Amino acid sequence: MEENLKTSEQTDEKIKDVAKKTDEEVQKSKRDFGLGIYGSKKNISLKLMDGLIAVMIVVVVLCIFFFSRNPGFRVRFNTDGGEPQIEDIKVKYDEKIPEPPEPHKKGYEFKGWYLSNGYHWDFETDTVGNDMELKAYYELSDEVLEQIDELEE
Amino acid sequence: MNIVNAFHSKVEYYNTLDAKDRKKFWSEMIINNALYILLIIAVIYTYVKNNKFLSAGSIMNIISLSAANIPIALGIGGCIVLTGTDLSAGRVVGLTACIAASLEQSVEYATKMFPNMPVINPWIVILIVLAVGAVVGLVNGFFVAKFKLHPFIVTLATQLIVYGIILMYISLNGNNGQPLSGLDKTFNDFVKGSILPTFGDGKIVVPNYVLMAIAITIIMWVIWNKTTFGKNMFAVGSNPEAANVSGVNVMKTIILVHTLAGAMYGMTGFIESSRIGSNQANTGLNYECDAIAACVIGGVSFVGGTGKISGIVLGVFLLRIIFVALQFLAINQNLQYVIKGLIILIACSIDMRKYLVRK
Repeated sequence: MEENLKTSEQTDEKIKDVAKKTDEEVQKSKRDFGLGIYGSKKNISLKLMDGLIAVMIVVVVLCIFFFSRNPGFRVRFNTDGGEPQIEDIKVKYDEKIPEPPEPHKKGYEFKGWYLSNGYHWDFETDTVGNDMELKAYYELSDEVLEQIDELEE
Repeated sequence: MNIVNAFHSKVEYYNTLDAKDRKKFWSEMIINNALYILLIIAVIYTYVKNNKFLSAGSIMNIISLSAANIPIALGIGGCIVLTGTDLSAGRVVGLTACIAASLEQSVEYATKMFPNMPVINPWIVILIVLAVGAVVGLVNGFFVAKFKLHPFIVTLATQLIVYGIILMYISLNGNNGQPLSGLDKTFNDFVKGSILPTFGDGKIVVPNYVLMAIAITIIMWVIWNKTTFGKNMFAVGSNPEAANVSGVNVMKTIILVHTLAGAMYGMTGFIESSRIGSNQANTGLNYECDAIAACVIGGVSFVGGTGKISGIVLGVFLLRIIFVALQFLAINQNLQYVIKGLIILIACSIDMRKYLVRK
Protein backbone atom coordinates (compact mmCIF):
# COMPACT_ATOMS: atom_id res chain seq x y z
CA MET A 1 0.00 0.00 0.00
CA GLU A 2 2.76 2.40 1.02
CA GLU A 3 4.73 1.42 -2.04
CA ASN A 4 1.71 2.14 -4.20
CA LEU A 5 1.34 5.59 -2.60
CA LYS A 6 5.04 6.35 -3.15
CA THR A 7 4.79 5.23 -6.77
CA SER A 8 1.71 7.39 -7.20
CA GLU A 9 3.47 10.44 -5.66
CA GLN A 10 6.52 9.90 -7.85
CA THR A 11 4.26 9.66 -10.88
CA ASP A 12 2.54 12.91 -9.87
CA GLU A 13 5.89 14.65 -9.53
CA LYS A 14 7.00 13.34 -12.89
CA ILE A 15 3.80 14.61 -14.49
CA LYS A 16 4.34 18.03 -12.89
CA ASP A 17 7.95 18.12 -14.15
CA VAL A 18 6.82 17.23 -17.68
CA ALA A 19 4.05 19.84 -17.52
CA LYS A 20 6.52 22.46 -16.27
CA LYS A 21 9.04 21.59 -18.99
CA THR A 22 6.32 21.65 -21.64
CA ASP A 23 5.16 25.03 -20.33
CA GLU A 24 8.73 26.40 -20.44
CA GLU A 25 9.22 25.02 -23.92
CA VAL A 26 5.92 26.55 -25.02
CA GLN A 27 6.95 29.94 -23.62
CA LYS A 28 10.36 29.63 -25.27
CA SER A 29 8.81 28.63 -28.59
CA LYS A 30 6.36 31.50 -28.30
CA ARG A 31 9.32 33.86 -27.94
CA ASP A 32 11.14 32.15 -30.81
CA PHE A 33 8.02 32.41 -32.93
CA GLY A 34 8.13 36.18 -32.55
CA LEU A 35 5.90 37.19 -29.69
CA GLY A 36 8.76 39.32 -28.51
CA ILE A 37 7.87 41.43 -25.52
CA TYR A 38 4.51 39.74 -25.23
CA GLY A 39 6.27 36.54 -24.18
CA SER A 40 8.51 38.39 -21.78
CA LYS A 41 8.31 37.52 -18.09
CA LYS A 42 8.85 41.14 -17.10
CA ASN A 43 5.84 42.59 -15.34
CA ILE A 44 4.54 45.90 -16.66
CA SER A 45 2.58 48.18 -14.36
CA LEU A 46 -1.06 48.45 -15.39
CA LYS A 47 -1.26 51.93 -13.88
CA LEU A 48 1.67 53.02 -16.04
CA MET A 49 -0.10 51.58 -19.07
CA ASP A 50 -3.34 53.38 -18.19
CA GLY A 51 -1.46 56.64 -17.72
CA LEU A 52 0.28 56.23 -21.07
CA ILE A 53 -3.02 55.57 -22.86
CA ALA A 54 -4.66 58.55 -21.15
CA VAL A 55 -1.77 60.88 -22.08
CA MET A 56 -1.86 59.81 -25.73
CA ILE A 57 -5.62 60.31 -25.91
CA VAL A 58 -5.30 63.78 -24.38
CA VAL A 59 -2.58 64.68 -26.90
CA VAL A 60 -4.76 63.52 -29.82
CA VAL A 61 -7.79 65.43 -28.55
CA LEU A 62 -5.76 68.59 -27.95
CA CYS A 63 -4.18 68.38 -31.42
CA ILE A 64 -7.58 68.02 -33.06
CA PHE A 65 -9.15 70.86 -31.07
CA PHE A 66 -6.18 73.21 -31.40
CA PHE A 67 -5.52 72.74 -35.11
CA SER A 68 -9.17 72.79 -36.16
CA ARG A 69 -9.98 76.14 -34.57
CA ASN A 70 -9.90 77.89 -37.96
CA PRO A 71 -11.11 75.18 -40.30
CA GLY A 72 -10.32 75.48 -43.95
CA PHE A 73 -7.49 74.70 -46.32
CA ARG A 74 -5.33 77.56 -47.51
CA VAL A 75 -5.62 78.36 -51.22
CA ARG A 76 -2.83 80.53 -52.63
CA PHE A 77 -3.12 82.43 -55.89
CA ASN A 78 0.17 82.94 -57.71
CA THR A 79 -0.39 85.62 -60.37
CA ASP A 80 3.12 85.06 -61.79
CA GLY A 81 3.83 88.80 -62.14
CA GLY A 82 0.27 89.80 -63.01
CA GLU A 83 -1.87 92.46 -61.32
CA PRO A 84 -3.73 92.70 -59.04
CA GLN A 85 -2.18 90.46 -56.43
CA ILE A 86 -4.80 88.14 -54.96
CA GLU A 87 -4.80 87.30 -51.27
CA ASP A 88 -4.84 83.76 -49.93
CA ILE A 89 -8.23 82.45 -48.89
CA LYS A 90 -9.45 79.63 -46.68
CA VAL A 91 -11.84 77.07 -48.14
CA LYS A 92 -13.42 74.17 -46.28
CA TYR A 93 -12.89 70.58 -47.36
CA ASP A 94 -15.02 69.48 -50.32
CA GLU A 95 -16.12 73.04 -51.14
CA LYS A 96 -15.58 75.00 -54.33
CA ILE A 97 -13.20 77.94 -54.57
CA PRO A 98 -14.87 81.27 -55.39
CA GLU A 99 -13.44 82.37 -58.74
CA PRO A 100 -11.00 85.25 -58.24
CA PRO A 101 -10.71 88.28 -60.59
CA GLU A 102 -8.61 87.73 -63.74
CA PRO A 103 -5.05 89.05 -63.36
CA HIS A 104 -3.48 91.16 -66.14
CA LYS A 105 0.11 90.93 -67.33
CA LYS A 106 1.44 93.37 -69.92
CA GLY A 107 1.88 91.73 -73.31
CA TYR A 108 0.14 88.54 -72.26
CA GLU A 109 -3.35 87.08 -72.31
CA PHE A 110 -4.64 85.28 -69.23
CA LYS A 111 -5.67 81.65 -69.97
CA GLY A 112 -6.69 80.20 -66.60
CA TRP A 113 -5.59 78.90 -63.22
CA TYR A 114 -3.54 75.69 -63.02
CA LEU A 115 -2.15 73.36 -60.35
CA SER A 116 1.57 72.56 -60.22
CA ASN A 117 0.97 69.25 -62.02
CA GLY A 118 -0.57 71.07 -65.00
CA TYR A 119 -4.20 70.41 -64.14
CA HIS A 120 -6.56 73.19 -65.24
CA TRP A 121 -8.75 74.13 -62.28
CA ASP A 122 -12.47 74.21 -62.97
CA PHE A 123 -14.13 76.56 -60.47
CA GLU A 124 -17.57 75.19 -61.40
CA THR A 125 -16.91 71.56 -60.42
CA ASP A 126 -13.58 71.08 -58.61
CA THR A 127 -13.47 71.05 -54.82
CA VAL A 128 -10.70 71.55 -52.29
CA GLY A 129 -9.09 68.56 -50.58
CA ASN A 130 -5.87 70.02 -49.19
CA ASP A 131 -3.69 73.13 -48.98
CA MET A 132 -3.00 74.16 -52.59
CA GLU A 133 -1.61 76.80 -54.92
CA LEU A 134 -3.20 77.95 -58.14
CA LYS A 135 -0.86 79.57 -60.65
CA ALA A 136 -2.02 81.95 -63.39
CA TYR A 137 -1.13 80.81 -66.91
CA TYR A 138 -0.61 83.33 -69.71
CA GLU A 139 0.06 83.27 -73.43
CA LEU A 140 1.55 86.04 -75.57
CA SER A 141 -1.18 88.47 -76.63
CA ASP A 142 -2.19 88.84 -80.32
CA GLU A 143 -0.69 92.34 -80.52
CA VAL A 144 2.69 91.14 -79.37
CA LEU A 145 2.58 88.20 -81.76
CA GLU A 146 1.86 90.58 -84.67
CA GLN A 147 4.79 92.77 -83.65
CA ILE A 148 7.06 89.75 -83.53
CA ASP A 149 5.89 88.70 -87.02
CA GLU A 150 6.59 92.23 -88.35
CA LEU A 151 10.06 92.23 -86.82
CA GLU A 152 10.79 88.85 -88.35
CA GLU A 153 9.75 90.12 -91.79
CA MET B 1 -29.88 36.96 -29.16
CA ASN B 2 -26.27 36.31 -28.11
CA ILE B 3 -25.71 40.05 -27.72
CA VAL B 4 -28.87 40.41 -25.60
CA ASN B 5 -27.88 37.46 -23.40
CA ALA B 6 -24.36 38.83 -23.00
CA PHE B 7 -25.79 42.23 -22.02
CA HIS B 8 -28.14 40.66 -19.44
CA SER B 9 -25.34 38.61 -17.93
CA LYS B 10 -23.17 41.75 -17.69
CA VAL B 11 -26.01 43.61 -15.93
CA GLU B 12 -26.47 40.74 -13.49
CA TYR B 13 -22.71 40.66 -12.84
CA TYR B 14 -22.67 44.45 -12.27
CA ASN B 15 -25.49 44.20 -9.71
CA THR B 16 -23.40 41.78 -7.63
CA LEU B 17 -20.47 44.23 -7.34
CA ASP B 18 -19.79 46.52 -4.39
CA ALA B 19 -19.01 50.25 -4.77
CA LYS B 20 -15.24 49.81 -5.18
CA ASP B 21 -15.61 47.04 -7.76
CA ARG B 22 -18.21 49.07 -9.66
CA LYS B 23 -15.76 51.96 -9.90
CA LYS B 24 -13.14 49.55 -11.23
CA PHE B 25 -15.70 48.11 -13.67
CA TRP B 26 -16.39 51.55 -15.16
CA SER B 27 -12.71 52.49 -15.38
CA GLU B 28 -11.96 49.20 -17.18
CA MET B 29 -14.91 49.80 -19.52
CA ILE B 30 -13.69 53.32 -20.37
CA ILE B 31 -10.07 52.29 -20.94
CA ASN B 32 -10.93 49.24 -23.07
CA ASN B 33 -13.33 51.26 -25.24
CA ALA B 34 -11.33 54.50 -25.21
CA LEU B 35 -10.83 54.47 -28.96
CA TYR B 36 -14.55 54.10 -29.69
CA ILE B 37 -15.38 56.88 -27.24
CA LEU B 38 -12.76 59.08 -28.90
CA LEU B 39 -14.28 58.29 -32.28
CA ILE B 40 -17.81 59.25 -31.20
CA ILE B 41 -16.52 62.55 -29.82
CA ALA B 42 -14.56 63.18 -33.03
CA VAL B 43 -17.61 62.47 -35.21
CA ILE B 44 -19.84 64.83 -33.21
CA TYR B 45 -17.18 67.56 -33.14
CA THR B 46 -16.49 67.25 -36.88
CA TYR B 47 -20.21 67.44 -37.67
CA VAL B 48 -20.54 70.60 -35.59
CA LYS B 49 -17.56 72.18 -37.38
CA ASN B 50 -18.58 71.05 -40.88
CA ASN B 51 -22.08 69.62 -41.26
CA LYS B 52 -21.23 68.19 -44.69
CA PHE B 53 -19.38 65.42 -42.84
CA LEU B 54 -22.53 63.36 -42.28
CA SER B 55 -24.15 64.12 -45.63
CA ALA B 56 -25.24 61.16 -47.78
CA GLY B 57 -22.41 61.82 -50.24
CA SER B 58 -19.80 61.89 -47.49
CA ILE B 59 -21.06 58.68 -45.89
CA MET B 60 -21.05 56.95 -49.29
CA ASN B 61 -17.48 58.22 -49.80
CA ILE B 62 -16.45 56.69 -46.45
CA ILE B 63 -18.11 53.38 -47.35
CA SER B 64 -16.44 53.34 -50.79
CA LEU B 65 -12.96 54.14 -49.43
CA SER B 66 -13.37 51.51 -46.71
CA ALA B 67 -14.54 48.88 -49.21
CA ALA B 68 -11.35 49.37 -51.23
CA ASN B 69 -9.24 48.64 -48.14
CA ILE B 70 -11.19 45.71 -46.70
CA PRO B 71 -9.54 42.91 -48.78
CA ILE B 72 -5.98 43.91 -47.81
CA ALA B 73 -6.99 44.23 -44.14
CA LEU B 74 -8.59 40.77 -44.21
CA GLY B 75 -5.42 39.33 -45.70
CA ILE B 76 -3.08 40.95 -43.21
CA GLY B 77 -5.45 39.99 -40.38
CA GLY B 78 -4.65 36.33 -40.99
CA CYS B 79 -0.90 37.02 -40.75
CA ILE B 80 -1.37 38.92 -37.47
CA VAL B 81 -3.44 36.05 -36.02
CA LEU B 82 -0.32 33.91 -36.62
CA THR B 83 1.64 36.47 -34.50
CA GLY B 84 3.30 37.77 -37.64
CA THR B 85 2.91 40.68 -39.99
CA ASP B 86 3.25 41.41 -43.69
CA LEU B 87 5.17 44.46 -44.83
CA SER B 88 5.00 43.45 -48.49
CA ALA B 89 1.21 43.93 -48.73
CA GLY B 90 1.34 47.46 -50.15
CA ARG B 91 3.88 46.60 -52.83
CA VAL B 92 1.91 43.51 -53.87
CA VAL B 93 -1.13 45.77 -54.24
CA GLY B 94 0.98 48.06 -56.43
CA LEU B 95 2.29 45.20 -58.58
CA THR B 96 -1.15 43.68 -59.16
CA ALA B 97 -2.66 47.13 -59.81
CA CYS B 98 -0.02 47.78 -62.49
CA ILE B 99 -0.56 44.34 -64.03
CA ALA B 100 -4.35 44.83 -64.09
CA ALA B 101 -3.98 48.32 -65.56
CA SER B 102 -1.58 47.14 -68.27
CA LEU B 103 -4.04 44.44 -69.34
CA GLU B 104 -7.04 46.77 -69.29
CA GLN B 105 -5.77 49.82 -71.14
CA SER B 106 -8.08 50.98 -73.90
CA VAL B 107 -7.03 49.97 -77.46
CA GLU B 108 -7.48 53.61 -78.48
CA TYR B 109 -5.02 54.87 -75.86
CA ALA B 110 -2.03 56.43 -77.57
CA THR B 111 0.66 55.15 -75.16
CA LYS B 112 -0.81 51.71 -74.47
CA MET B 113 1.81 49.46 -72.87
CA PHE B 114 0.97 46.43 -75.02
CA PRO B 115 -0.37 48.02 -78.22
CA ASN B 116 -1.18 44.77 -80.03
CA MET B 117 -3.11 43.22 -77.16
CA PRO B 118 -6.90 43.52 -76.90
CA VAL B 119 -8.62 44.45 -73.64
CA ILE B 120 -8.70 41.35 -71.44
CA ASN B 121 -11.92 40.16 -69.82
CA PRO B 122 -11.98 41.52 -66.21
CA TRP B 123 -12.78 38.07 -64.77
CA ILE B 124 -9.58 36.67 -66.33
CA VAL B 125 -7.63 39.65 -64.96
CA ILE B 126 -9.04 38.87 -61.50
CA LEU B 127 -7.69 35.32 -61.77
CA ILE B 128 -4.30 36.63 -62.92
CA VAL B 129 -3.91 39.13 -60.06
CA LEU B 130 -5.13 36.59 -57.50
CA ALA B 131 -2.49 34.17 -58.80
CA VAL B 132 0.29 36.78 -58.74
CA GLY B 133 -0.61 37.85 -55.20
CA ALA B 134 -0.87 34.24 -54.06
CA VAL B 135 2.60 33.44 -55.44
CA VAL B 136 4.16 36.28 -53.42
CA GLY B 137 2.23 35.12 -50.35
CA LEU B 138 3.40 31.57 -50.96
CA VAL B 139 7.03 32.74 -50.98
CA ASN B 140 6.47 34.66 -47.73
CA GLY B 141 4.77 31.72 -46.06
CA PHE B 142 7.39 29.24 -47.20
CA PHE B 143 10.30 31.18 -45.72
CA VAL B 144 8.41 31.84 -42.48
CA ALA B 145 7.25 28.26 -42.04
CA LYS B 146 10.16 26.26 -43.40
CA PHE B 147 13.12 28.24 -42.08
CA LYS B 148 11.41 29.78 -39.03
CA LEU B 149 12.43 33.27 -40.19
CA HIS B 150 10.60 36.17 -38.59
CA PRO B 151 7.72 37.37 -40.80
CA PHE B 152 8.92 40.97 -40.37
CA ILE B 153 12.26 40.19 -42.03
CA VAL B 154 10.85 37.93 -44.75
CA THR B 155 8.16 40.37 -45.79
CA LEU B 156 10.59 43.29 -45.62
CA ALA B 157 12.74 41.44 -48.14
CA THR B 158 9.83 40.53 -50.41
CA GLN B 159 8.63 44.14 -50.19
CA LEU B 160 11.90 45.27 -51.79
CA ILE B 161 11.87 42.43 -54.32
CA VAL B 162 8.31 43.18 -55.39
CA TYR B 163 9.14 46.90 -55.71
CA GLY B 164 11.98 46.01 -58.03
CA ILE B 165 9.64 43.81 -60.07
CA ILE B 166 7.15 46.69 -60.34
CA LEU B 167 9.86 49.04 -61.61
CA MET B 168 10.97 46.47 -64.19
CA TYR B 169 7.41 45.67 -65.26
CA ILE B 170 6.37 49.26 -65.93
CA SER B 171 9.54 49.76 -67.99
CA LEU B 172 8.64 46.91 -70.36
CA ASN B 173 7.82 47.40 -74.02
CA GLY B 174 9.03 50.99 -74.19
CA ASN B 175 6.71 52.23 -71.45
CA ASN B 176 9.79 53.53 -69.55
CA GLY B 177 8.08 53.86 -66.18
CA GLN B 178 5.19 56.02 -67.39
CA PRO B 179 1.98 55.84 -65.34
CA LEU B 180 -0.47 53.26 -66.65
CA SER B 181 -3.71 55.06 -67.38
CA GLY B 182 -6.28 55.28 -70.18
CA LEU B 183 -8.20 52.28 -68.85
CA ASP B 184 -10.98 50.76 -70.90
CA LYS B 185 -14.54 51.88 -70.15
CA THR B 186 -15.84 48.33 -69.70
CA PHE B 187 -13.21 47.71 -67.02
CA ASN B 188 -14.00 50.97 -65.25
CA ASP B 189 -17.71 50.18 -65.36
CA PHE B 190 -16.98 46.68 -64.01
CA VAL B 191 -15.20 48.12 -60.95
CA LYS B 192 -16.48 51.65 -60.42
CA GLY B 193 -19.82 51.38 -62.18
CA SER B 194 -22.95 50.36 -60.36
CA ILE B 195 -25.48 47.60 -60.90
CA LEU B 196 -27.56 49.07 -58.08
CA PRO B 197 -29.94 51.99 -58.66
CA THR B 198 -28.65 55.44 -57.74
CA PHE B 199 -30.29 57.57 -55.06
CA GLY B 200 -30.14 61.14 -53.87
CA ASP B 201 -31.26 62.48 -57.27
CA GLY B 202 -28.73 60.31 -59.01
CA LYS B 203 -25.79 61.78 -57.11
CA ILE B 204 -25.21 58.86 -54.74
CA VAL B 205 -23.82 55.77 -56.47
CA VAL B 206 -22.85 52.46 -54.85
CA PRO B 207 -19.79 51.30 -56.84
CA ASN B 208 -19.47 47.63 -57.76
CA TYR B 209 -16.28 47.26 -55.73
CA VAL B 210 -18.37 47.77 -52.56
CA LEU B 211 -20.31 44.64 -53.55
CA MET B 212 -17.01 42.88 -54.27
CA ALA B 213 -15.80 43.79 -50.77
CA ILE B 214 -19.00 42.40 -49.25
CA ALA B 215 -18.58 39.14 -51.18
CA ILE B 216 -14.93 38.84 -50.10
CA THR B 217 -15.88 39.49 -46.47
CA ILE B 218 -18.49 36.72 -46.55
CA ILE B 219 -16.01 34.28 -48.14
CA MET B 220 -13.32 35.11 -45.57
CA TRP B 221 -15.81 34.77 -42.71
CA VAL B 222 -16.71 31.28 -43.91
CA ILE B 223 -13.01 30.37 -44.25
CA TRP B 224 -12.10 31.69 -40.80
CA ASN B 225 -15.09 30.30 -38.92
CA LYS B 226 -16.49 27.33 -40.76
CA THR B 227 -13.48 25.49 -42.15
CA THR B 228 -10.83 23.29 -40.59
CA PHE B 229 -8.19 25.57 -42.08
CA GLY B 230 -9.63 28.53 -40.15
CA LYS B 231 -9.63 26.64 -36.88
CA ASN B 232 -6.09 25.47 -37.53
CA MET B 233 -5.03 29.07 -38.16
CA PHE B 234 -6.27 30.16 -34.73
CA ALA B 235 -4.74 27.09 -33.09
CA VAL B 236 -1.33 27.77 -34.63
CA GLY B 237 -1.58 31.44 -33.68
CA SER B 238 -2.42 30.62 -30.05
CA ASN B 239 0.17 27.91 -29.50
CA PRO B 240 2.00 26.34 -32.43
CA GLU B 241 3.51 23.58 -30.26
CA ALA B 242 0.14 22.51 -28.89
CA ALA B 243 -1.34 22.71 -32.39
CA ASN B 244 1.46 20.50 -33.69
CA VAL B 245 0.87 17.94 -30.92
CA SER B 246 -2.84 18.01 -31.74
CA GLY B 247 -2.11 16.93 -35.30
CA VAL B 248 -2.29 20.29 -37.09
CA ASN B 249 0.17 20.66 -39.98
CA VAL B 250 1.69 23.95 -38.78
CA MET B 251 3.90 24.50 -41.82
CA LYS B 252 1.04 23.95 -44.28
CA THR B 253 -1.25 26.25 -42.27
CA ILE B 254 1.28 29.09 -42.19
CA ILE B 255 1.97 28.80 -45.91
CA LEU B 256 -1.74 28.74 -46.75
CA VAL B 257 -2.50 31.77 -44.56
CA HIS B 258 0.19 33.82 -46.28
CA THR B 259 -0.92 32.58 -49.70
CA LEU B 260 -4.51 33.57 -48.98
CA ALA B 261 -3.30 36.95 -47.74
CA GLY B 262 -1.39 37.44 -50.99
CA ALA B 263 -4.51 36.65 -52.99
CA MET B 264 -6.38 39.31 -51.00
CA TYR B 265 -3.66 41.86 -51.82
CA GLY B 266 -4.12 40.94 -55.49
CA MET B 267 -7.83 41.64 -55.25
CA THR B 268 -7.11 45.03 -53.64
CA GLY B 269 -4.73 45.82 -56.51
CA PHE B 270 -7.46 44.95 -59.03
CA ILE B 271 -9.89 47.37 -57.37
CA GLU B 272 -7.31 50.12 -56.92
CA SER B 273 -6.13 49.96 -60.54
CA SER B 274 -9.52 51.24 -61.68
CA ARG B 275 -10.31 53.38 -58.66
CA ILE B 276 -7.05 55.35 -58.89
CA GLY B 277 -7.03 55.35 -62.68
CA SER B 278 -3.34 56.14 -63.07
CA ASN B 279 -1.06 53.40 -61.73
CA GLN B 280 2.66 53.76 -61.20
CA ALA B 281 5.52 52.40 -59.13
CA ASN B 282 4.29 54.08 -55.96
CA THR B 283 0.77 52.71 -56.14
CA GLY B 284 0.01 50.86 -52.92
CA LEU B 285 2.82 52.55 -51.00
CA ASN B 286 2.22 52.21 -47.22
CA TYR B 287 -1.16 50.54 -47.68
CA GLU B 288 -0.04 47.87 -45.19
CA CYS B 289 0.27 50.50 -42.43
CA ASP B 290 -3.40 51.43 -42.62
CA ALA B 291 -4.40 47.77 -42.92
CA ILE B 292 -2.39 46.72 -39.85
CA ALA B 293 -3.77 49.67 -37.90
CA ALA B 294 -7.32 48.71 -38.87
CA CYS B 295 -6.72 45.13 -37.71
CA VAL B 296 -5.35 46.26 -34.34
CA ILE B 297 -8.22 48.70 -33.82
CA GLY B 298 -10.62 45.91 -34.76
CA GLY B 299 -9.31 43.62 -32.02
CA VAL B 300 -6.85 41.37 -33.87
CA SER B 301 -4.17 40.88 -31.27
CA PHE B 302 -0.44 40.71 -31.97
CA VAL B 303 -0.29 38.12 -29.18
CA GLY B 304 -1.83 35.74 -31.69
CA GLY B 305 -4.81 33.44 -31.90
CA THR B 306 -7.38 36.22 -31.56
CA GLY B 307 -9.32 38.05 -34.23
CA LYS B 308 -12.69 38.36 -35.90
CA ILE B 309 -13.71 39.27 -39.43
CA SER B 310 -16.33 41.64 -38.04
CA GLY B 311 -13.65 43.32 -35.95
CA ILE B 312 -11.39 43.86 -38.96
CA VAL B 313 -14.23 45.33 -41.02
CA LEU B 314 -15.18 47.58 -38.11
CA GLY B 315 -11.55 48.62 -37.71
CA VAL B 316 -11.31 49.58 -41.40
CA PHE B 317 -14.46 51.72 -41.12
CA LEU B 318 -13.35 53.38 -37.87
CA LEU B 319 -9.96 54.26 -39.29
CA ARG B 320 -11.50 55.64 -42.47
CA ILE B 321 -13.99 57.73 -40.49
CA ILE B 322 -11.12 59.21 -38.49
CA PHE B 323 -9.11 60.01 -41.64
CA VAL B 324 -12.06 61.65 -43.39
CA ALA B 325 -12.95 63.58 -40.22
CA LEU B 326 -9.41 64.98 -40.08
CA GLN B 327 -9.80 66.15 -43.69
CA PHE B 328 -13.15 67.77 -42.98
CA LEU B 329 -11.55 69.57 -40.02
CA ALA B 330 -8.95 70.84 -42.51
CA ILE B 331 -6.13 69.71 -40.25
CA ASN B 332 -2.70 70.11 -41.82
CA GLN B 333 -1.67 67.03 -43.84
CA ASN B 334 1.60 66.73 -41.91
CA LEU B 335 -0.18 66.72 -38.58
CA GLN B 336 -2.64 64.10 -39.86
CA TYR B 337 0.27 61.62 -40.01
CA VAL B 338 1.11 62.39 -36.37
CA ILE B 339 -2.49 61.87 -35.25
CA LYS B 340 -2.80 58.62 -37.23
CA GLY B 341 0.38 57.32 -35.63
CA LEU B 342 -0.87 58.22 -32.15
CA ILE B 343 -4.17 56.44 -32.81
CA ILE B 344 -2.27 53.29 -33.83
CA LEU B 345 -0.17 53.55 -30.65
CA ILE B 346 -3.32 53.92 -28.54
CA ALA B 347 -4.88 50.86 -30.20
CA CYS B 348 -1.72 48.78 -29.62
CA SER B 349 -1.45 49.96 -26.01
CA ILE B 350 -5.06 48.98 -25.29
CA ASP B 351 -4.40 45.59 -26.89
CA MET B 352 -1.29 45.13 -24.73
CA ARG B 353 -3.26 46.18 -21.65
CA LYS B 354 -5.95 43.57 -22.30
CA TYR B 355 -3.19 40.94 -22.64
CA LEU B 356 -1.59 42.02 -19.34
CA VAL B 357 -4.92 41.92 -17.51
CA ARG B 358 -5.55 38.39 -18.84
CA LYS B 359 -2.02 37.35 -17.79
